[in-house]
Amino acid sequence: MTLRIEGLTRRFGATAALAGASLEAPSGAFVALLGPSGSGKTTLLRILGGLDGADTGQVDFEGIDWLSLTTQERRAGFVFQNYALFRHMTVAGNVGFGLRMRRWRDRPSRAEITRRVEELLSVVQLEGLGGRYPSQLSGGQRQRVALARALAIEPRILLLDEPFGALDAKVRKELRRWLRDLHDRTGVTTVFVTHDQEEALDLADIVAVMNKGVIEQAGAPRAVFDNPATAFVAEFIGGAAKFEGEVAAGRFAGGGLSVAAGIPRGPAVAFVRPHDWTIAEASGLEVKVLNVLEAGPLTRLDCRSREGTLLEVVLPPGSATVIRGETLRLTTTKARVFPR
Amino acid sequence: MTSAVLSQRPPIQRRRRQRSVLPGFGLTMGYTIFYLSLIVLLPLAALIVRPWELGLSGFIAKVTEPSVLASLKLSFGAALIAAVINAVFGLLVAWILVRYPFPGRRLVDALVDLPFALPTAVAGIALAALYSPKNGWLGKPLKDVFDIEIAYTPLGVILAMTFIGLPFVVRTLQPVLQEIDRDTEEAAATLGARNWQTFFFVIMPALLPAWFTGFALAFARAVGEYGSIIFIAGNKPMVSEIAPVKILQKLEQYDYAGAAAIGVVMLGASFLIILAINLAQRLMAKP
Amino acid sequence: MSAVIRRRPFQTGIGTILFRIVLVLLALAFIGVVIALPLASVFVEAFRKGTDAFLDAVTEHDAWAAIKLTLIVAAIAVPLNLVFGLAAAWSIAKFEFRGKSLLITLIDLPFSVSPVVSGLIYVLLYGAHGWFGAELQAAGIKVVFSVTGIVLATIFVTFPFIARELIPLMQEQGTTEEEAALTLGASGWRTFWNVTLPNVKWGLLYGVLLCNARAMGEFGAVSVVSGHIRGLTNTMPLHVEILYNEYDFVGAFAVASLLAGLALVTLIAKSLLEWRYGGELAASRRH
Repeated sequence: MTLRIEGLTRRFGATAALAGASLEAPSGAFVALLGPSGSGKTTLLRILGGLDGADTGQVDFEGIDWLSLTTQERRAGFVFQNYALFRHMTVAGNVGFGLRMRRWRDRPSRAEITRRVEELLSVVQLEGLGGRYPSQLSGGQRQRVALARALAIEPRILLLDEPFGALDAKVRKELRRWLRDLHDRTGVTTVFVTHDQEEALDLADIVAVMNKGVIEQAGAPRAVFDNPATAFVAEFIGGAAKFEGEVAAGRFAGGGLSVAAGIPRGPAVAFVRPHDWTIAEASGLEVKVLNVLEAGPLTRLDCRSREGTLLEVVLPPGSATVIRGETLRLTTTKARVFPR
Repeated sequence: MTSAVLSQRPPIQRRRRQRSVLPGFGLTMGYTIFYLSLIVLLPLAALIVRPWELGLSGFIAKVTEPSVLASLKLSFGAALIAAVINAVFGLLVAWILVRYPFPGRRLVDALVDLPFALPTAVAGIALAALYSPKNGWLGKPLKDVFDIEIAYTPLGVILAMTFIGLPFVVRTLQPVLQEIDRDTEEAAATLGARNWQTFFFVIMPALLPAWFTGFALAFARAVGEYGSIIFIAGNKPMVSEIAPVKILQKLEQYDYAGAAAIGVVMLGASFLIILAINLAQRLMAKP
Repeated sequence: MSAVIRRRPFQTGIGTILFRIVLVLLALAFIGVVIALPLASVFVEAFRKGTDAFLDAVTEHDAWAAIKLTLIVAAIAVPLNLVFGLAAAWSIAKFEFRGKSLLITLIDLPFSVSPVVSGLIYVLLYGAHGWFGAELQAAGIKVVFSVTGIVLATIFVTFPFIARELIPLMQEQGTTEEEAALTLGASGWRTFWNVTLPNVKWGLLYGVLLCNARAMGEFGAVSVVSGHIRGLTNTMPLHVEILYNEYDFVGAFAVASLLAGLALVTLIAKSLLEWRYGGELAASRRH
């Protein structure tokens, strides 16, 4: 375990951006901080990068008391959400900045800097664009310049704030694969912030789901997806419908749903994902089909239960045809029930 | 193990050090406050404190001396008239500069800033020469044809104040006019509004706070103006003598308290104007 | 039907065009009478008696002394306000703290103070009967009626120029580029020098330009503290006044034309900056 974050807190006036966030990840991991806006993920990233200070808590990275280092000493490659490229410098000037800023003892020669910049530009596939200014580049190109600039300082850790947030869908997908490849080649421990669960599950080795300043659950994408540890994670991941009710005698009942539950009696909440419904003949949750979307092999239904819960249902290929306005009965065996 | 060592570090220390990562706040803020105090606050304090050595009644006596009162009336009255003139013509100039492309527009746009850039003494002698009833290019015909004298009368004071205040109105209105959405005007037209209706009911309300701000700025500048006025005004006591001239006279007589008393009245007026402008700006922020 | 589509929406009829022409002419007439003609008259009057008379007037001993003093005063006042402007903009734009808007208002204050009052406050502090007058006299230091006083008064009236151009500019640019530089290993000083300063260079130049124009052209404030000692404490604008009051009109206008030339150069440079680098100047153009 080489990145260990323990009980970080950070208040901004009356609001607690971080309320005791803790996380562990092995060296070379690709970590996603996933959460809704305001969950504290960017604050956590900025603290790791030395751009903000924690009120309490500690970070240990490869045996170093990370928070005691200055921003410059950390050598953390930080890629900003809007890239923060130096607008008055060329692409080459941006990429070589970190090298030029070294103390003269460690500073490479001018020729060496030029060579390294060219090398990095070819790594990010921007050969020949070194003389351009940031304003002359597309969003995807800027993103890659920002990455090259961060990589130039041979970072001990790479920190990315919503790295694909400002890009359109196609470029976003491409860059995502490319970033993963880059990570696999360089092996630098990488932490990135995202609010897009698909992105996090697709890319990361470790997904850390954040809510209200704490990390609710961290683990491999599969583990987090299949076994949400808290009600928040169950609701946030997988577009689940939410039912509030009670558990009694090993069963959850509420909002028209009745399923087996393995938790003690008391108020509870149950979540069911769109893929986990099956259409039943007689009994089950009664819903009205509001809309039918047949895009690709799957059929997606927007439904409303009699109790008013809106839910999404995805039917596997080859299901019976459903029409709008129809009333269906749904059952599930994969409801996740948490105490309320 | 590491965490046990780490937790001995008092968190307070770290908190103070890392609150903001950019360095230099203490140094630059300290210098800012120091320089501001030395150059602006201390001297202004000296001004505000000075007249009270006479007591309240002495202060009132100083500022109600007939010649002082007349000079204050002239400074404020003429400034008000000049600001009104500028409000009207400033709106006109801003409007044509933003809306109507005409040859030489860029030149006119640059000329509007001349009163900012031209030293006031230069403006003063130029206006005095131009409007002199004896041989001025404009002054002589005005005298001969209409029997109007501008130089060496309160009219000259108003003219100089108009000169000095014009850019304030134009430059506050211009950006606002530029921002007014042409779409809203077109929308008004599709709803059946005629041009003048669009102007008065759509454009003017959006313009009002900026218009007032420009007016107030022009007024404030005119009240305190000295250099461009004294040459054309002729400085006849009780007739065309502005308050700043009165301050200088008091200083020459070593009546520091009297000079400071007039200065305080003018400074107070500036404060009220700043206050009014801030209110207008707050209105501007709220649509 | 055809009658309806014959006229395109918002097509301007002949009446509208005439109306526009009238508005433009009215505005041009106003600008001409109030601004352009006075400017032209400066140069005409300066050369009224020919080029030789002009050259004699501007190379005459006292005129030279005035030109030199003006340059010296600007050379002291502008750099001091430049350092202040950078410090103030850095602390105000890059950090969050209480009382920020009050501080900005205080920095703007000298703009709303009458020039004569701006001079008066230094007399009240350092004059013979001022707060520190006795002490200074005992120490043999002369502030009022000396170059020191002129420099102080000039610093006061040009105090906000650079700061108020830089503050909104730096605020708009935020802190992320500086943060990026820090993560890349740059020290605070190098971050400022390599990242912050290049980003505001045009705004800085703009502020320096306006500050310099005012520093060289200031009349009222300097007039109060200078004592008008020929060849010693006379700046160019003060020299213009003296010559004018002695009825040496060619001399007065000759020196004035140099100042007017400076104003024109300033205006041209300012317009070029606005035209070429408008996006890199303070977002809202206020004065």
